[in-house]
Amino acid sequence: MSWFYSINESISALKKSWISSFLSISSMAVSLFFLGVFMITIFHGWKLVRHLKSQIEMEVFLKDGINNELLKSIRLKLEPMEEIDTLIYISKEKALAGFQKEIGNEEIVDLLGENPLPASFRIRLKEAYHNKENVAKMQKKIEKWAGVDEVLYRYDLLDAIMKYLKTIILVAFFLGGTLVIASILLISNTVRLSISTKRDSIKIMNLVGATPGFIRRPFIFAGAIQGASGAFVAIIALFFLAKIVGFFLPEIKLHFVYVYLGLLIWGIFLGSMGSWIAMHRYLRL
Amino acid sequence: MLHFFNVSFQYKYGYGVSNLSFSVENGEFVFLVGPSGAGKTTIFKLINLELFPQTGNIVLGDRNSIYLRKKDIPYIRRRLGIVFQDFKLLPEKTVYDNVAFAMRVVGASGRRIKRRVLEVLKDVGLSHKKLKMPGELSGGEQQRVAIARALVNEPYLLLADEPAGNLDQETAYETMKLLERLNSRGTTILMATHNEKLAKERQKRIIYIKDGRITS
Repeated sequence: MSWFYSINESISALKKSWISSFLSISSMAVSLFFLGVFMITIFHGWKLVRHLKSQIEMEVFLKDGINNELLKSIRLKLEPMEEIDTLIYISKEKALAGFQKEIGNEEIVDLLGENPLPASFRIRLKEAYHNKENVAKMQKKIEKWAGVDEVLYRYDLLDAIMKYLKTIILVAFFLGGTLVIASILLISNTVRLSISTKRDSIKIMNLVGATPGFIRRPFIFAGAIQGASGAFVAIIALFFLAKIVGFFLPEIKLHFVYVYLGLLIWGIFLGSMGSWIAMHRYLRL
Repeated sequence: MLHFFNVSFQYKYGYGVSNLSFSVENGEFVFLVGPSGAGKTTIFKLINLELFPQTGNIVLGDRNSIYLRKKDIPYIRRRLGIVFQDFKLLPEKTVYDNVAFAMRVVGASGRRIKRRVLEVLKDVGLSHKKLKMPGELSGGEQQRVAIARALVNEPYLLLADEPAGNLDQETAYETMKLLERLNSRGTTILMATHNEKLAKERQKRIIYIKDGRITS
């Protein structure tokens, strides 16, 4: 009964200051929408980085004409390294076959008079070691070994993606943060307005023995309702955005129940926080 | 029922009350008489726990102000009914809702609210105006709504702060008759007034107060 009363009171307060409520709900919707877009972008970017990392191989090229013993000793040194997930030996012949298969030129040996491709070890690293510092360390270490000519690892593309991702995260952080603060303040202002229009009721509630919790509850609800409404609008907008993106890029799966759920919870939390700020400043019980 | 033991309270800017000791017993009708600024409203605020004694203590029923915790305050206020000179009704609510409001905010059930509000509106003679807005009522009727609201939670003690102060003589007389009738049915009343004549006519106990002190 008393919860029903509090919800009723908060809805009627929102209706009374509908312009302010509309503004704060819209602002909450915009900021949660951007937050959702950022979350999805960052999530996909991260997924892409992880995928690329798992695809990129480290190649240890061996010097031409190394003997079997040296080859064996390099393999024996590589095999126990904990960073390595898979290790494949590509002989000169296998490298040539692969190369010819790729470019379809069978004349290369005839042309150069010898097989120009070096033998190599192709290494895939374990996920935990997919970072630049670690790769550089390994590269340096292996290059020093006898019989090793060069160690290559294609990090440029990954580097570029990581850089973009970091920029997106930074922009999301500042833009999202600013929008979130703005919407909290707008909600706080709506709640402040309803506190001031209900000043007489609050005074009487206080005098007849309503508990502070009971007096505060409709205002907390008012904030939470605004936050949830903003989140709801943002979720609908994101849903349609995902549909549009899905139409053009069908391979990307963009519907995340947990992003929507997260936005709803976040909206309710931010709305209640706006109420809390208003009550802290304007409601002395 | 209500006991003041050497209670003092001074506002920052001066005035207040000093060394007050008095009691109001169960079923009594006591007048607190004094000019404006004598400290009558301060006494009511002390009883209502809007203010706390700086020295001394107040006992209301089984509660002593010394041992009170902040969270007890709402529950003590539920045992008090308060009537103000300016009624303090909510203009956007009907008579019925103004009275029911006092029960809703303490969490009473819907059925109990309906039964009790109709009962108390009948007591103050306003059953037929339950759906009117306060603005549609005369001053005397508004004061009766305020009295109904003060009584609806069945308080131990009814505090009336100049309840007839804003009313013409005839309406003031009717309001007093209503309070006396309520008292004769068992409600304990402490009423503040600056009108000594009004208090004397009633032949009830009078506590005189001046400059924050009891004079007799």
